[in-house]
Amino acid sequence: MQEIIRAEDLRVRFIVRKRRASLFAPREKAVVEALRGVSFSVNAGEIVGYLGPNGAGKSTTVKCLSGILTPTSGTATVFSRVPWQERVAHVRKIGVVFGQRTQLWWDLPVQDSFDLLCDIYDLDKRAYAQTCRELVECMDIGDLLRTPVRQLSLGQRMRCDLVASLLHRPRILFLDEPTIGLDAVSKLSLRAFIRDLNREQGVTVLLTTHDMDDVEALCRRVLLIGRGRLLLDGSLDDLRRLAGGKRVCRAQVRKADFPLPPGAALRSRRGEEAEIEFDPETLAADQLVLHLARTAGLRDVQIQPPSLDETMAALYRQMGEVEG
Amino acid sequence: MRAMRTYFALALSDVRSQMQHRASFVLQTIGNFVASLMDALGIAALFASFGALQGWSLYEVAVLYGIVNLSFALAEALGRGFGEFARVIREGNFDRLLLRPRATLFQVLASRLEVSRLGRLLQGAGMLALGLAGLPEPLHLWQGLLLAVCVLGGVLLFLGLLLLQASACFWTLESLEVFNILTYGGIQAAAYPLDIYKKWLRDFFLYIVPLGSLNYLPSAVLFGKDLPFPVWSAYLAPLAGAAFLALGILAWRAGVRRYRSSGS
Amino acid sequence: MRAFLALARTALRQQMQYRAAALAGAATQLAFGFLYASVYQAFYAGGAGEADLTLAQAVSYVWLSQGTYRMMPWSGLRDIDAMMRDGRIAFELARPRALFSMWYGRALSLRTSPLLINLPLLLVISLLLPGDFRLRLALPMLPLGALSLLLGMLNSAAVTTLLTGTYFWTISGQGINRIAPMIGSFLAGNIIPLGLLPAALRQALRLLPFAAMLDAPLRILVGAADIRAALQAMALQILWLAALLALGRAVVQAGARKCMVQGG
Repeated sequence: MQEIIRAEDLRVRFIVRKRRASLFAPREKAVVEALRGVSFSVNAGEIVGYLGPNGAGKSTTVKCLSGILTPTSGTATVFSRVPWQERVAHVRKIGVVFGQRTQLWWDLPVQDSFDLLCDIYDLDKRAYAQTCRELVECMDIGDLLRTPVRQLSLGQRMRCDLVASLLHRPRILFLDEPTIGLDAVSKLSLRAFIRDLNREQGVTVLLTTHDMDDVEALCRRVLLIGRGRLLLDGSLDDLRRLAGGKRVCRAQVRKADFPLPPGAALRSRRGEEAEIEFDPETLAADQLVLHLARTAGLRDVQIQPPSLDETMAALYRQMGEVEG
Repeated sequence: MRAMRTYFALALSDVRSQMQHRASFVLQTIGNFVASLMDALGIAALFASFGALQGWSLYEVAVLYGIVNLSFALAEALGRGFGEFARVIREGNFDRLLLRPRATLFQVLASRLEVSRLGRLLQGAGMLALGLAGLPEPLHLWQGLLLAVCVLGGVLLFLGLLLLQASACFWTLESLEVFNILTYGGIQAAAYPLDIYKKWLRDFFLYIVPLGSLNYLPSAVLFGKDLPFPVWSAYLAPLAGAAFLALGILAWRAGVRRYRSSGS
Repeated sequence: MRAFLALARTALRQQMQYRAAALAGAATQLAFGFLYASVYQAFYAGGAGEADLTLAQAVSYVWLSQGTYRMMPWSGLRDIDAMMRDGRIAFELARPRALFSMWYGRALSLRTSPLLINLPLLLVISLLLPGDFRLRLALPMLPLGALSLLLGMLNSAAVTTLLTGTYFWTISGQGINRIAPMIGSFLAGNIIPLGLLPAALRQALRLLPFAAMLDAPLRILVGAADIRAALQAMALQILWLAALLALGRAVVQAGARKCMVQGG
């Protein structure tokens, strides 16, 4: 496997100047450590989910890797180039999509934006026409090409933005919250597109998102960052284990009130439906079921791992307790 | 050559967006014309009242006025992107520019071509033509060339000012209104011969924001006025515009460096 | 009186929020004051020509017109324009109180509250300036001048309301709002003191409503008008105020009627 992104001990320190309290008060300064030594590497052809709560340092990392930001210390290479030292050469090789911002020209038809990007990236006209045709077909935006960007819906715009970021055929794609605010259909089609892009053309993807369905659908590997530090580099299962590896037992029980064994806790109760959380390390599943059958009048039972959303919520809670 | 092509592709697309709001474009152009027309009328009215200004005739002052307004109109049309740069910074859109394989300065320059500045441009050109028509003898070729170089120098200088103003946004995040004193105040000041001002004001516009060297020195030579400088200095004067632009470019570079190490 | 003080206090507090903009504005006005004063000094060096101001009066006029710069009706009430465009005007039309008086009140506050910081600041600075740049007020005429300035504000607010009324005719309204103020401020003496214009022109302009906004009070305050001339000018101000109010009311009512008929 060829390593194409390598970050070593990335540190970013900002000095934030607060607003003056009054005209004559001195300006207060605060030092913010956005990244405190982040190291990882990504191989060609991977889709990596980059997760973490707001302000954890996700976009700071992406900014460093895309050449926008010069870190305070540490180094990174992408295609054996240091992004912030050779910005122009570097950005020719990468694609970047910010879900909250468009890179298209607001007042112009979509096609005109694409053509401008062709000029800016100095693309070969024939190769560009070919790429554009393929992508437009793939993303099904043929009908939108004559529409000014300001008239597009968010989902339509995001599809066009994705195409725009791929016109120069980058081998790496940085996606920052690509599905934010999209309806279900758009989300699904966007995910399918990204997956195909990765499988068929081998484009490497680094995805930051809060949408755990994106992660579930696309990523086999995740990086978890909190307070500027890398907390986990592993699979989705590793992530669940880190969150405490809790299981959820959904049980239909007749009794209104019943005792629970140590290691289990009632999370919710609606009618006969009870949701019980337990830790398989201290309480085996068969023990719990046996206990419920004996004490609660068990009718039916289902045991599941918690959803990724619940996992992340638990993780963020833990981080909050540990660090804040 | 390729840069030129990209420039035109980008700038013309901005012109196309302006044309989508046609009524507002027409109004802005007329407004731009009338605003500078009022200044010109003011100058004409003063000459009508007082007759002359320390040995300078209305025609000669019209040439001064024409050069500086023509330069400013061209610079503002070309450099409108810098004039509106505070918004780019505030809305976080500078990242977008850094993600594209072109110099940021080039991208901001190419992002806007403000056609409504035709208003002041026509007005300035009109005054210049009027002033030249009133000269006792027609211009020699070399004099015409000197004038053209002066206008060019003025464009560079005003672009430099706009660039300084935009660069300041990297630190202040908002547009510094104080720069308007230099631009609009500079136009007002340089519309008259600099020798009418007190020494400190004259020196300011000769050495610090060298607007005067772009229209006053060359015009003084053209019209045979007494100059406190050797005559050849008038021919070098338009270089001051280039020097000022270079200063603006340095400031821009420092600003981008700062932005890229602070991320905001 | 107490209500007035409370109102003034609120307005002052609001203005303090735009402190930076106000200071930048004051700095600009100060710079332009110096430039204009320098130019007039140069013109007067060759004799007073047709001017009916002395140099000291002209310089004082410059400072007062810079200090009252934001009193001029630079546009109608902009939020009303925005309401016309997006249809919220319907709510404004549904309010019980007469539209014209409501808008007139707001126009008055728009034209006077920015002066709370700017005018005193500029007055203090220009009163302290050295010799030929100093503001010199005609002390015995101060009460009449102040009264005339108040009339000027009322006139300016009336023009502002009139401009607001033209927003009912969207495109042409915006055109009027962009262009009329620039011409009006020239005719009012904001760019060149009317006293420095050729005699025939100046006498004609002093009869117009624009002079009633600015030139009349400034002429009195700098001592260029004797009691008789001052009272005449003020009578004209009152006359124009009545006329502008009537015209403004007619325009606003016609616009509102047009708007109702079209259903917003």
